[in-house]
Amino acid sequence: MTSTTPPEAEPVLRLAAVSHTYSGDGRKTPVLKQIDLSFERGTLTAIVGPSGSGKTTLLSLASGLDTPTKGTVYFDGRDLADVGLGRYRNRHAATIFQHYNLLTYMTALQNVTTAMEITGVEPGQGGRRRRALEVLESVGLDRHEASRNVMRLSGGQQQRVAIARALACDVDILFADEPTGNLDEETAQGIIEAFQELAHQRNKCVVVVTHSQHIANQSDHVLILRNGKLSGPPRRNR
Amino acid sequence: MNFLKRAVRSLWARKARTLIMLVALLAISSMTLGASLIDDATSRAGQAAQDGVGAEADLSLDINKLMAAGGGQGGLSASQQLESAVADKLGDSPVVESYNYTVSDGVHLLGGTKIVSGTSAQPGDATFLPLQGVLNSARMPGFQSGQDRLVAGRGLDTSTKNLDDVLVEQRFATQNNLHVGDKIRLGADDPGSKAAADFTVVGIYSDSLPTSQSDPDTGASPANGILAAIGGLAKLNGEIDNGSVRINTATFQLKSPGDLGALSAQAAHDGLDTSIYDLTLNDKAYQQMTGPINSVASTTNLAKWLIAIAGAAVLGLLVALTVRQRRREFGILLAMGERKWKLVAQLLVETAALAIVAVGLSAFFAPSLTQSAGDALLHSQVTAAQQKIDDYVAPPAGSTGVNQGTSPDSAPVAGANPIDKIHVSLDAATVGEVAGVGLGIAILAAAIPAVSAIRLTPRTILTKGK
Repeated sequence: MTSTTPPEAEPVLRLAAVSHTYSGDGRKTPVLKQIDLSFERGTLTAIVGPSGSGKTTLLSLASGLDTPTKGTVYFDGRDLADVGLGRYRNRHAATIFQHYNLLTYMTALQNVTTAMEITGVEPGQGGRRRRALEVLESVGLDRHEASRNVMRLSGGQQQRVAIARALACDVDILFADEPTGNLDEETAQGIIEAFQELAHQRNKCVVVVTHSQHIANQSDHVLILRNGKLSGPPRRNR
Repeated sequence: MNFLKRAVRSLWARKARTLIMLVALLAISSMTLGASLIDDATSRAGQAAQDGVGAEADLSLDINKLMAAGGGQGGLSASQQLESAVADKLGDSPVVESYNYTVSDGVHLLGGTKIVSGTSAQPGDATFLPLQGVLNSARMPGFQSGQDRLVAGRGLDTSTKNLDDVLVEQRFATQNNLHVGDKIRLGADDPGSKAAADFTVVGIYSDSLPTSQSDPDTGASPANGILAAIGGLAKLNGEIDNGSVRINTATFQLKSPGDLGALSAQAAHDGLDTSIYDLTLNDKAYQQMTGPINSVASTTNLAKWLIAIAGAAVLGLLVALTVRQRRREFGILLAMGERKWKLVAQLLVETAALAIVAVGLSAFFAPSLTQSAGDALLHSQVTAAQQKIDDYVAPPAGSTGVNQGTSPDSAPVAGANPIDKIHVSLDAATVGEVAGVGLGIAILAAAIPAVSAIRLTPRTILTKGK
């Protein structure tokens, strides 16, 4: 028996009826309410919305940094709880944080190679060091800057190290929380192009939380979040 | 093993923190090692003293037990008498190096033998002389302490047990023109008995006590001292039964003070009436010699554990502070999917590496510093102990000292000088022990705060305080 329509591809990441509430000081604050959402391979998705709308929380749940108080997150059709949050973060998802979150006692290069070691990126030809230098160069950091302790780099350079660290890990999904906030226009455009290349050429799923309309306009899909709810179906740019 | 690489990078990059931790660990390990070295040195000195003087177990009647058992009225019954056969069995024990037993008895001097001029005879019986029957004269307290000294002939031992042999005091020998090999005629202690025998003088000894210092119990002058072979004396006085003789006390030279338990068990097994007889350890010489070093050892041992506990607390606080400061780092690593055990392992490796360096450094410096500290500690203890010995005043002649408030047991043992030197030396076992304690403290101090930190989710760690 043959089907007249091809079966829809399984999304790489799906959030089903996800809600999240923060508890503290005897109060419960709902942040996300009944989110149903899918992300596919080969796409760059931007999540936009005003401050406090739940963007970063959504990113945390999708990236396996936290678990929703209600609902389920699926990776490749499997409940994240079954995959294991640690394994998911280690093998399948990488996150670029708004505040860089670099290992401050290491150089830029060591930050990248450490991430590669932890996530089990094969050394390949030339080794991890060479690959790390290539990635750092692709985000605009030369060898001299790569060998400096990250605390001696500017905010923009640190942001680029954080991006290079995520890019160097060969994961299925890349999450970024305001990745270009501290970058000049030219470098920011380079980063967006790197995300597009990852999505379109290497079939990765890239999810970016941003306030930048510039990034949103260059993404494949745009999700608007307001008061913990999606304001409608994803807007398709392409 | 990326956590090892991270540990090395962390230690190298955070030099100030590394140095503080190293100094703290160095202080803890140096003091712990120093205390262990002193403990070890005093233990070796104590062992050497023990090997030198050993320990003596005394088997004697316990008057209190006898009274409690309702005995003591009209002397001991035949079944309650202590027999040499029991002491001989105990003497054959593998834990006994040598032994002796004695009986206090008396004889009548016959054949013209006289007590030393100027000494008192027994009232109403001028020829009666109290004396002791002994198995092994070399093990008599006087000979052990050096108060008595053989000046001619040989002593009494197991080979002379049943012979009619005697040792006589030099002044008694001079008075009666006795020489080694001469015979003296002795009669039984019972004036009604006709029993008498010729005893051979096999040796002459000198007692350093003055003629006038009579024995407080028997009233006999040390100048009239006679030690008789215990079997020969028993035959004379008719106190031998199937080769076994009645004895008052027995002493056993043990290989180690710890062997007393084994000897007591054997005594009970061999039929000693433990309801009235006691085997007690007489390690007075050993205690006198080792008192100061034991005191030093006990102080340093206490100090060692106090330092270890205080060190663990200080180290725990330092590591807890470090872990608190490194929560973000843990969150980042966890966000990358690093396994939690590897984070704990990284912390442990960092702390353990510093602990190893600290123990290594302290092993280098501690022995010389400890020798000086140990000498200083011991010096004050030895001075105090020696002062106590020097301050002892012997009771007046003919007195036990009880009436003067001097316990007969408080007399210092001659020749048992307090050990005044310890030799600190480093060996693998001591370093291993300190390394084990140090690593244990370091691991415990690191593990508890590390485990508490990584129980949180990476998001909680990364957003905490923001």
